[in-house]
Amino acid sequence: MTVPVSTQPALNIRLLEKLRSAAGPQAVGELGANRDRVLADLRTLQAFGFGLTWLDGDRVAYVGPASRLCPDQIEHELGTVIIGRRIVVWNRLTSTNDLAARLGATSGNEGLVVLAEEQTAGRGRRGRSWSAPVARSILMSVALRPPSRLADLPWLTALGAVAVAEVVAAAGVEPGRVRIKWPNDVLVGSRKVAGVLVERGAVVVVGIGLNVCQQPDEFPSAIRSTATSLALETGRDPLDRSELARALIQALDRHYLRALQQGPGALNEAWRSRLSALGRLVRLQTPAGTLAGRLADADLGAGLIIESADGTTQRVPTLSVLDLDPV
Amino acid sequence: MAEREPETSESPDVQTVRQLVRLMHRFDLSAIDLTNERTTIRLRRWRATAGAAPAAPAPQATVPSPTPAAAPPPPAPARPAVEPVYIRSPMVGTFYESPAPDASPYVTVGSVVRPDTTVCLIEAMKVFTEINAGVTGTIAEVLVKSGQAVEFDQPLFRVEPS
Repeated sequence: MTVPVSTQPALNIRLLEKLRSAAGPQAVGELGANRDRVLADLRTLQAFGFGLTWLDGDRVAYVGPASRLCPDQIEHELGTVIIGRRIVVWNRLTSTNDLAARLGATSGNEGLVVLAEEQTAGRGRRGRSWSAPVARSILMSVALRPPSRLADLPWLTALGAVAVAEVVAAAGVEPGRVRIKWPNDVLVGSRKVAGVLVERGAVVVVGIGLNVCQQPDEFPSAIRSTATSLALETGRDPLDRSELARALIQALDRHYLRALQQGPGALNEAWRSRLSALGRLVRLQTPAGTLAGRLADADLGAGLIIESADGTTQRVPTLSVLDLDPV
Repeated sequence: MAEREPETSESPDVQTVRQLVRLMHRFDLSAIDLTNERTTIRLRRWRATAGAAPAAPAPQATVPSPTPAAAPPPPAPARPAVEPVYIRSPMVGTFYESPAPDASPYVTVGSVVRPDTTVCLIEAMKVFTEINAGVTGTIAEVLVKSGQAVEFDQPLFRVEPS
C-alpha cells in the first residue's frame, strides 16, 4: 500500500528557510536557543533529503533542495484561500486527476491539491499517456467546485495554463518566450514544458503536468525534439520542485479568487497576451468545417476574430473551435 | 424531443414546462401538477408499450385558470406515437465512448442506463466533460464513433426507455 508522504513528522521549515537565505555557513548556536533541538531539527531535515553540509562539526550550510516533494515546505507560508487548503503528496498513484475527482466529491475538499512523484496511468491529451520519470516533474491535480458562472469551459481551460505560464516565467525563463498554445499547453519557445487537462464530472479537476528537472535523454524519443523542462530552459540545477509547487498553487488560487470577485473575464488578458497563435495565420477546425486566416484577436468569452486574406473578419465562438493550428 | 432544445427567448411558462418535462424525465415521473395564484400547469406522461414518448401528449399550460383543477388531463392518444428518445450532446466537441483509450466503453448497445449513468465523454478545449444519460432505459443504438466531432444537440445515443 502506498503511504502518503504527508504522514512524515513535521519538519522545521522555518529553520530551513533561515539557512537557505543565509549568505554562508551558520553556527548552530546562532540558529536557535536550544542547541539540542536545533541539531535534532537539522538532522530531520537532512534525513528527509535536504542538502545540508557540516563544517568543522559546528557550522552548517544549505546546499540544495530535497530531491522529493516536501509537503511541509509546500505548505509553509502558503497563504492561499481556497486552493491548497489541503495538500496530499503521494509517492505513486495511478492518476492524480482520478484521486482528486474522488476526494473532491466531498464539498469539504474544495481546493484539494493532489501531488504525486509518479503516475502509473497518467493521462495527457486523449490517446496519449503523460509519462514522466519519477520525481522529475510536478504532477498536480486540483479539485474545484466552481459556481456555474465560472464553470464554463474556456475559463477552466485557461486557468491552469495561465498559472503555469506565470510560474515558468518567474522561474527564470525569459517571459517573452513563455507562450500558451491553444487552448492550454505551455511552451517555452516552440517546445512544450507543461500540459493541462481538465476533467468535469461531479467536480472539476484541473490536472497539470510541468516538466522541471528532465534532461533530454529523460524524455521519450518521440517527444525529445518538442519537449523541454525548466532545468533545460534556465540552466539551473537542481531546481526546487516544492518551491515551484507552492508558487503554482499560489498562482492558481490568485486567479481563482480574482475570477470569483470580478468574473471569468479577469483571466482573459493574461491568457490572450501569451497566446502563441495571436496575430499568426491559423487553421481552425469547427463542426461546420475548416477555416483559415489570421487570428486577429482572441477572447475567452467573445470568441476568436479571424481575418481573411481579403481583409474581411469573422467571429468564431470559442466553444465552436475543435482545434486550432498554425499554418 | 422538446426537453433538450436550446433555451431561447421564450415565455417563462414555456420555460417552466420545459424544466418540468426535464424533471419528469430525470425522476421518471408520470404526472406533475403545478399550481400557483394565476397559473396551473398539468403534465402527464404516457407510456407506450414499445417505448415512452414523454413529450407526446402536449403539456397543457393554462393561463390563468380560475378553477385550478378544472382542466382535465389530455386524453391518451389511441395509439401513442413511438417517438425515439435520444441522448444529445450538450456542447460542441469530440465524442469519446470510454474514459481512456484502452478502457472499455461506458455503455454499449444493450446497456441499461439510469439518469445519472455516465454514457460518454465530450472533449472541448481540453476539458473532458462526463455526459449523463438523463433518462432511464436501454441503449438501443450508438450514433457516433469515438473520436468524432459532434455538434450541439446532436443525438449521440438512441435509448429504449423503460
